[in-house]
Amino acid sequence: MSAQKALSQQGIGLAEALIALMLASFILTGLLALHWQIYARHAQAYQRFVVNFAVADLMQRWRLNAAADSAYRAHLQQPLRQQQSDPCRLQACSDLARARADIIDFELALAELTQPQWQLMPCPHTPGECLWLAWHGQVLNECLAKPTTSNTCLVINTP
Amino acid sequence: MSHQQRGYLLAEWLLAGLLGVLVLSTVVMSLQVQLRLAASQRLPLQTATAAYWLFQRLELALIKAGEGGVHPFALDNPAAGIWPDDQLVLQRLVLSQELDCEGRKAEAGVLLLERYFLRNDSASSDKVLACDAGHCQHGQCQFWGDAGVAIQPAVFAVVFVYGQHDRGSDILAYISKSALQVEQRVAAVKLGLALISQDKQMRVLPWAWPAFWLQPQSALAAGQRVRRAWVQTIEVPHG
Repeated sequence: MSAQKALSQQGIGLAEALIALMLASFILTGLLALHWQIYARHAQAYQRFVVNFAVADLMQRWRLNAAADSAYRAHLQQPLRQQQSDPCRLQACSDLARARADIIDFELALAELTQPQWQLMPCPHTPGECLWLAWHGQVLNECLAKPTTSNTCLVINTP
Repeated sequence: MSHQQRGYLLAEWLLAGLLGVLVLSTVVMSLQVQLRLAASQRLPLQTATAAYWLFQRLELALIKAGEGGVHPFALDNPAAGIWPDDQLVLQRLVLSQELDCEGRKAEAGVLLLERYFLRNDSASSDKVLACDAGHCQHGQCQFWGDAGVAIQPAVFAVVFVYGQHDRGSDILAYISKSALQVEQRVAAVKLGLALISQDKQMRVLPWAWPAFWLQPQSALAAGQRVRRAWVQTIEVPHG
């Protein structure tokens, strides 16, 4: 029986070859997609480092310049805009001028991120105001909806 | 039965060849993606992780500096000597036995000095962040002023500026160590760290100092190693 089968074997048919090609392309496309996903995750991990550094520095500066608390809040109410570094971050300046310089430095530290956005809003789980930050194409509204599940948003209590 | 076998058809050979080329090219592409991924994403993450660890270490040292009522930056200790502004010298009284930054035991009651500075790496052409520790008692210091131990390789710039309130106007300014007033407390220190990856990427990367960097620096040539700079402000509780 099997001998008869072997005799009738005439090579690979076109349909078989096409099916094999299709399967191979599906598998390889999936692999490439997976690689791209890993690539994106690494980028997100690095961007989260950048955000954590920038936020930690801003919060420390804010605590050290508590007299200008309202100035920090007022500046953070405005959207991000890229600026030149302000000499007041090091030089002797008033508390209000230093607050402005600190916010500009914060913006500059976030310049490495893709599409960063921020907003000062009530905290999701605690009383008080929080700084909501979204980046890497994350829309701030989505961050507001699911603050704890996103890899590309951060919610931090203000001093 | 086997005499019926005529070998492969040309079409079969061509199909097999085509499939082989497709599979091979995809594997090569996949490997290239992996390599790019490894180099372009791992290296910045490595520098960021190293910077995070260093900031943690320096923050802990700054929090402890000045314990025991001494000047946190050893400006009241002539035995500590005078060091350049790009070196961070910290001082504290050891309250209970602990290890200094070189791993030596420091007994309670010893005045511990720690100096963080950049020096050439003995194993490469890079610079390392090193720490030199000294134990002082009765105006005499032991182990102080040597090359110390390397605590982080591939650091290419460090900056330390000190936040001090002006005595007259009470306005805060960040100044260099040589401009500090001994009798005024230091509120905070800004640390700038610039790190370079130990491995290379496949392509040449341009580098510009970030706008938030603490002091003007000369331009650096593009290279295949990833460079990153970070600045953190750290409060000095015993300032």
